[in-house]
Order: sequence, then C-alpha cells, then structure tokens
Amino acid sequence: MSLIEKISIELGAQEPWPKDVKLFQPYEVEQILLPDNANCLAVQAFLKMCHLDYTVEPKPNAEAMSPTLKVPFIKAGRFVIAEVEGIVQFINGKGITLTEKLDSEQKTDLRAFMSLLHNVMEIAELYVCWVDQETYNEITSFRHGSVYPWPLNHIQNRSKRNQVIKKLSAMNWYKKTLEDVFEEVDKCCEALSTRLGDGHYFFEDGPTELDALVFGHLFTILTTPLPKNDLAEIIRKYPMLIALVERIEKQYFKKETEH
Amino acid sequence: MNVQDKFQLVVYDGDFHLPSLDVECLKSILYTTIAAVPVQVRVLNSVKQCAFHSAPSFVHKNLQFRTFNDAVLYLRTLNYNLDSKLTAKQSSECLAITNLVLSKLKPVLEFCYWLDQRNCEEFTNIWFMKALPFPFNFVHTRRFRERALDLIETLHPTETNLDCIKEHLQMTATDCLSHLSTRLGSSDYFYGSSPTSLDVVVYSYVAPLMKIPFPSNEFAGVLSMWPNLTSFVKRIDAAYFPNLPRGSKYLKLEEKPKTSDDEVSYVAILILTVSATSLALGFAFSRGFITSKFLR
Repeated sequence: MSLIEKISIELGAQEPWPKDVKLFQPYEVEQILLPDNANCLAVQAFLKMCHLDYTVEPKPNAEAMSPTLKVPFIKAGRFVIAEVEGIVQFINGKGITLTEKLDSEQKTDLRAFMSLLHNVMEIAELYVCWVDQETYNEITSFRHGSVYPWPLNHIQNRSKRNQVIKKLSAMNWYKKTLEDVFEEVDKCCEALSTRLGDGHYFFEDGPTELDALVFGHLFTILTTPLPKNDLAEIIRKYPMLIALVERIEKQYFKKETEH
Repeated sequence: MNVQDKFQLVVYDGDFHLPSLDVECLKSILYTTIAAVPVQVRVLNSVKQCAFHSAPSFVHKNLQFRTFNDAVLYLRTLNYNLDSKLTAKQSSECLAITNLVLSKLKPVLEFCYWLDQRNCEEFTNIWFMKALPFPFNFVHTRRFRERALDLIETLHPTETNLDCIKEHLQMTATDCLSHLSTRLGSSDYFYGSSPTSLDVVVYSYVAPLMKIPFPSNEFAGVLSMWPNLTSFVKRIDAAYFPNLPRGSKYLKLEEKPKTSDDEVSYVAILILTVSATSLALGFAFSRGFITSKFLR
C-alpha cells in the first residue's frame, strides 16, 4: 500500500492536474452513511479550495473499488488514490499546496488536529451509525443494504457491522456508552472551537486541509437527519464552528447552484 | 486514612529501567507519580492479583477504573490535575497532540511488541510468560497478541505482508516523532517547566522504544535522530524514577552475542574437514586407488 502510494505520488508529480479527474463515492441520496459522507465532502472541499476541477462519480460499490477499501477515492489520469490524507499528499506532490506559508510548528498543529478529527469525530460517527441500535435499525441497515438485493443486503450489513465493531474495539471505543461518545465529541468540538477562536480559518493565511476536514464532518453531521440528533446539538453549542461551516459552504459550494 | 481508602494501582511489572513494560500501565504510573497521588503500586504477579484485577487498574475505596483515561478523569475530580495550569488554547492543543501520538505511535508499539515475529518469539512473549503466573501468562499474552493483530488489521485492511506494514508504520512514526521534536524544541517539557498529561503520554510511547532491548528494533535507530526527545525521556527518568534498577529481572540477556545462522564456528569446520578427508582417503585406500608400500 505504502509503496504504491509513494510511487503514484512521485510519478504523479510530473504530470499536471488532468482534466477528467473523477471522484468516486457511494450514492449520496440513498446510500452514503455519515462517516463516509463526511470524508467525501472533506475531499470535495479540499479540491475546491485548491481550485482543481473534478466530477463526482457515484457508484454503488465505490467502497469495494477503492484501493484501501475506504471512500472517497479519485482517479487522476493513470493514478487511483484513496482517502483524505492520501489525496492531500498526492496533490501536494504536484506542487499544489495550501500549507506553504505555515511554519513547522503550525504544521504540527495541523497534523495534530487532523488526527483528532480522525480519531474522535470519525470514530464517534461510526459508533452512532453502527452500534447505536436505534440508528442502526432505522437508518444504517436500510441505507447500507439499499444497493443489494434481498438476502445479500442482510449478509452485507452484518459483515460490515462486524468489521466496524472490530475496529471500534481495537480503538477501545466499543465498550463506551452513548453518553461517553457524546462527551468525547463535545471535548473535540470544544478544542476545535478554542483553536479557531475568532479567526476566519484555522490558520490566518487562508483555508487548509484542516478546514476542509472540519467542514466535511460538521456539515454532514448538521445536515443529516438521524433519530438521535445529539451530535448536531453538540455542534450547535459552538457558534464559531457553525460560522466556519457556513463560510466555507458559501464560498466554495454555493457558486454551482447560481448558474 | 485506613487501608480501604488508599489508592492502589495494579500494573504489569517493569524491567529494563522502565517502571512497567505495558504502555497503559506506564502512563498511569507516571501520571500518579507526577501528580503526587499517594498511591500504592502493586505488581500483577500472583494468582490472586491476576484473578481479581486486570492491569492497569486503579482502585480507590470500592471503585475500580480499568483504563488510564477513566483513572485520570476520576483523579481530576479529586484535584489531582496536571493540566490545571494550561490555558484553553493550550489544552485544546494538548488534546490534539495526544490524539496524534495515539494514532501514529500506538500501532508502532503494538507492532514492535507483538507482531514482529522475532521480537515476539525471542523477547516479548518470553518476558510476559515469566513475569506473570501460570495459567494467566497464557491468557494475557494471547489477549495482547490478538489485540495487536486486530488493531493492525483494522488499520491496514488490504495489506497482508507484514514487511510492508512495518515500512508504512516506520514512515508514520518518523513523521510523528519529527512533529513532536519540533513542538518540544529546546524546552524542558511541552508546556513550560512542569510536566502535563501530554508529557506523560509522549514519554509512555517513546521510552519503551528507546529502552527495551528488542532483538530487531529499527525504531530505536529512528529515534536517535532527535536528541531532544531522548534527553526528554532522560529528564523525566531523572526527575521521577531515579531509583529504578537498570538490569533485566526476568530475562538473562545473552552476554555473548548469539551466533547467527550464517556464522559457523571454526571448530565445526575443522572437524568436518578432517572427517571428510579421512573418509575419502580411507575409501581410496580400501579400493586400492592409492597404494602405499607401508600398508602392503
């Protein structure tokens, strides 16, 4: 995995950004789940921040197509690169970067907060989608199974759920209660909100991949209706974060609908 | 204060100048030492201990906390808080860097302890088998190994080649350590002159890589690239664990370097040569290819 990634970053660096870049993701309306949607949106926001063109290609089996079995992934020319960090590295390899003005200490901050989001937000979203019985029964099982015919949908749901549970127990999250999870999310949001302060973005010089990732997660949580909307309630307690999300949405995502 | 009210901490035993060989235990010991919690540290080495406790577990009155995070949350309510002096911004950064360390260095340690075949067979497994009483040593080592395997499998679902995973882990570890090193700079601790929970976490993940004599430890070499991290570990050692024994308790480390497969001793070569030559000569004599007037 690492070798292929390294090669594609090095080889890809020589080529300009191709015209027909495709971003593969599950169907947004019927199929996609909260954590996947957050990551897909984060990558879209990042590409828009870099002013790179892409087209979204919804596929029912996007997850299985991805080289790391995680969505989203992009196909740029001859290269297929998956996941937020891989895509960011690939684009940085082409000399397009949003972090050139940051000093090394700020870069540490950036990495640290990105891993905070991966480690807390994403895991919490997985927990809510797959472990919380109510959400699983009412939302997750239908959406995840929607692309498979009967009895396969049940089998697929089950195997995916076992995978997620294995991941959560490896991270010591499976034994937590829902309240513990919400508390972790609250702590995470508080940290993000304090770090953001009154600034327009996390770093003064403009948006970075961190802003893209925060936008992806928070926007998805705010706009996805769930039987338990505690996650959204938690985020609403931090007006700074809401303002950030609205700012990014207005600047990068509203333009399309105008024309 | 009677016996029941005392704080107790049950941990895996330490060795090689480390208070405990298990990372979670190491965190708990260091945190309680720095926060000056009057705690009685007990080593998990008898059947009775193993039957009633898991490590690390923090016991106070009739409450028992089985993870470092729960114990810290409880200690905070009792005003043993290392992070009380941090500003809001600092503590948010502290949380973020803690997560960075957890997500990048934890897999490296789990890999080093339990998945690297040589390390596990020649060192870690033997050590824990000796440090824990029968039959719990089998249960615990097995649990450790399964946990490590689960973690690595969930992080690298498409990769089955351990060497590739190792290379990838090495890359992320290098990345993370260089970030930590820049963040630490030349100051004593991450936030000024007194340690915080971030220092506890960083120490617990860096010190084992530095101190444990793994048979194959590529990560120790990586670590020596950042002298400020090594001196950071030594600083904490000097300040909080000055009296730890340096030697190894359970393993007799081979004093003489073990001969590896491609190094053959000269005595063996000599014996083989002599016997092969005499066999050939004997054969030649018996068949009469070589004749000698003395033998005739």
